[in-house]
Amino acid sequence: MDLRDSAEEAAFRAGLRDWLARSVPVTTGTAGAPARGRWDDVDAVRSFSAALHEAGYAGLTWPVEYGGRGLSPVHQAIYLEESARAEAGEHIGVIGLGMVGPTVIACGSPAQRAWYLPRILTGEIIFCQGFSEPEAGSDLSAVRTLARRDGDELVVTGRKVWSSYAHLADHCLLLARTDPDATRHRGLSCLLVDLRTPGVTVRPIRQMTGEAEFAEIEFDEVRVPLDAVVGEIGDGWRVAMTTLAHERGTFGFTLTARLEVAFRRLVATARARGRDTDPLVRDQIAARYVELEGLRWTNRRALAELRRTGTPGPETSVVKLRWSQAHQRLTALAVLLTADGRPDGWDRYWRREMLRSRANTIEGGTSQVLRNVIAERVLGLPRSY
Amino acid sequence: MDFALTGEQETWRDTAAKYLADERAAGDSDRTWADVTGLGWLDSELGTVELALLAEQLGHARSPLPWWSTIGLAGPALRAAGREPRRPATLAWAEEAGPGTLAALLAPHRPGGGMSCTVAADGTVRGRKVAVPHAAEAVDLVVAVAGPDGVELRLVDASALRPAPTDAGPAGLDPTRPAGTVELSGVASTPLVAADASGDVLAAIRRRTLALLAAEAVGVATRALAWAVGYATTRTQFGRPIGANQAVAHPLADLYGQVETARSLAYRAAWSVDAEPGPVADRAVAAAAVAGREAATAACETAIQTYGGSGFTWEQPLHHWYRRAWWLATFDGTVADLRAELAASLLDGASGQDAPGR
Repeated sequence: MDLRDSAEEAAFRAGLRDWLARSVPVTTGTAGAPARGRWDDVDAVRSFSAALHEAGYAGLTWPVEYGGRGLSPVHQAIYLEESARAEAGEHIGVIGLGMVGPTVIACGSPAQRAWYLPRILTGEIIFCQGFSEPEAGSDLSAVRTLARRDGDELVVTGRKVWSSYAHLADHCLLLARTDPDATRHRGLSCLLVDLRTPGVTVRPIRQMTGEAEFAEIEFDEVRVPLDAVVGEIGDGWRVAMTTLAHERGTFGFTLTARLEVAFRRLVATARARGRDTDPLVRDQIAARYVELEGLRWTNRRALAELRRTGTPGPETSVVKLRWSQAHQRLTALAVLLTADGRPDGWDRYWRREMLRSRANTIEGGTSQVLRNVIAERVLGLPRSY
Repeated sequence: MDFALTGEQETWRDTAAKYLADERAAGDSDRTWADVTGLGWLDSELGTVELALLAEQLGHARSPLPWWSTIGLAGPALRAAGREPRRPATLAWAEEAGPGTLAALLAPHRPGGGMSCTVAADGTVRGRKVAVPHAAEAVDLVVAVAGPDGVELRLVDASALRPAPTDAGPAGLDPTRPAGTVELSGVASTPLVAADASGDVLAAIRRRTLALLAAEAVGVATRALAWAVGYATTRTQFGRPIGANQAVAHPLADLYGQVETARSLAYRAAWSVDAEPGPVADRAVAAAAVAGREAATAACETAIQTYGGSGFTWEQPLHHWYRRAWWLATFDGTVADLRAELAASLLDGASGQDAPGR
C-alpha cells in the first residue's frame, strides 16, 4: 500500500495542473458564486473539448490504436480530480468518451470504430444514450422500442426518456427490441442512430430546477442501416451491460471530484455568510467532510481492485449510493446557510444545486436498485420479492 | 498510488484472524500474552498499517487483550526512551481535576498542563490518575506528570503501587475494556520523555491510538454485519429467508456501504500516521475515528434489529460487540468532539484543504 503518486503519476499530474491553469476559462459569477449550468454555453464547451483533445487529455484510457493515450485508470482518476479542482468544464462528449466509445471499442465493428471513435474524441459528434423508456427505467429488459427488419435496414419506432443532453446530441446509442417474440433481455439489439434521420423528434424535458438537461426522444419509423448494429442482432443486452459497466468504472471519481468542489464552495459560503463560527454549522461541515473523504478513499480502494482484476466490482455501487446521499445533504445544508435572503449569487446557486441533487438518488440507478445489487451480489442475500 | 494490501499484509491479517478464532486466544491472559509476543504483535518493525490490520482483527474477535493500550498508548513513550514494550502496559493521563482527554492534555501549552500529579526531584511521583485503561492488568505504567518545566512522561512499575490498581468493575460500558484508578503515593519512577519533547510524543500517542481504535471499530462493525447477513440468510419467516425482504436487506446494504467507507478511512489514516505525520495525519485520523465509531454502533444496532427479540437477549453474544462499539464511541471524547476538531482544522486554518495527490 502506497497512497502517494508514483514518480510518473506525479509528473502527469503536474503537467495536467499546469495545462489546466492556463486553459480553464474563469467563469466566476457575482460575489464569488460560480456561474450557472455547465452546458449553458455550448460553443464554449465545444472549444474547451477541442482544446482538451489537442492537449491529449481526451480518451486517456482508450487504446492508442483508437486515438487514446493507453493510460491506466489511475491517470483517468488523476485527470478527473485535477480538472474538478480546477473547476474545468467537462468534455462535451462525456457520454461518448466514457460510455459509447468504450462500448464501440469492445463490441463494435472495424468500420464503426474507424468512423465514430476519432469524432467522439474531438467532440465533433456528441452522443446521448437511449436506454430508458417510460415503462422501462430501472428494468431495461422491459424495453419496448421496436426495431423491425426491412431489407438492409431496421425501422425503429418507440419512445425513450431521461436521455441526458439528447437535445445537444447528434447521435444516440439506442437499445431496441429486434425480436418481439423473444422474452425479456433476449431479443434486444444496440444501435448507433443518427438523430438527424427523418422521423426522430427530440423534446427537452424541463426539470424541477427549471432547466432541461435531459430529453424525450421519439422514433417514428426511423430507418437505420443494418451496419449501425453494435455487435450482433439480438446481442443488445450484453452490449448495454458493457456500456453500464463503463459507466461504473471511474465514474465514482467524477462524482467525488464534483463533491469535493461542492464542499469547497460550502466552506466558502459559510465564510461569506459569517456562519463558519456557528458550532452547529461547523459540526455539519465536518460531517460532510468525513463523507467526502470516505468516498475519496473508497474510490482509491476500488481502483486498486480494478487494477488487479480488470473489472469494477459491484462494490462500486456503494460509491454511487453514498455519494448521492452525501451530495443531497451538502446542498441542503448550503441552502440553509443562504436562507437569509441576501441575493449575492450563492443563494441562487445553491437553490439550483439542492433541487438538482434530488435526481442523484434516481439517475444512473436508483438507490433502491443499488441496495438490491449490494444485498444480492455483494452480501449474498436471497433475491428480494 | 496503490491502495491494495500487499501479500505480506494480507498474510499478517489472516494469521491474526486465525489465531483469534482459536479458543486459546480467549483463555488465560498470561499464556495469551506469551502467544502475542511470540506472534510478533509487539515487534518494533511493524508499521501502523500492520498494527491497524491487527487492531481490526482484535475488534472482530472483541478480544479483551490490553494489546492496544500497550502498543498504542504506552508504546510510543517507551520507544521514545529507547525501550521496547514487552509486557502489558498502559498510559495514565487523566485526572479528576486536570485534563480529561488526551486532546485536552495536548491543548494547554503551559507548564504542567493543568495537572495535579507531580514529580519530585528524587523521581517519586504523587497524585491520582483516573480512567486508566487496563490499569489492573498493566505491568508497566506510563504516567503523565507535571514537572518543573511542563508535562513529563515517566515509567512506573505497577508492582510498586500500594494499593494495587483495581478495575472500576463491570459497571463500565465494556467489561472487557476496564479502566481503573491509580494512586501514586510517592512511588518511584524513571524518566521516559522530558517536558520539551512530551507534546510531540503525546500527539503521536493520540494519533496512533485513535487510528488503531478506528480500525478496531471497523472490525467490530464487520463482525456485526456478518452476523446480521448470516441470520438474514438462514432465518425464515413466512416461508422465506428474512433477507429476501427489502425491509431487512436494504438496511444491511446501507450498512455495508458505511462499513466499507469506514474501512477505507481507517487504512488511509494508518498509512498517513507513518507517511505524513502532522496536520494531514491528524485530519485523516479524526475522519477515520468518526466514520469507524459511527459504523460500529450502527452495525451492532442494525444487527440487533435484524435478529429481532433474540438479538436483545443476554444469551445472544451481539451485546458484547455492542458494548465494545459504545466504548469505542466514547474513548477520549465523542464523535462531536472529533468533528469539532475537524472543523477547526478545515475552517480556521489558512487553506482548509488537503494538498491533492500525495
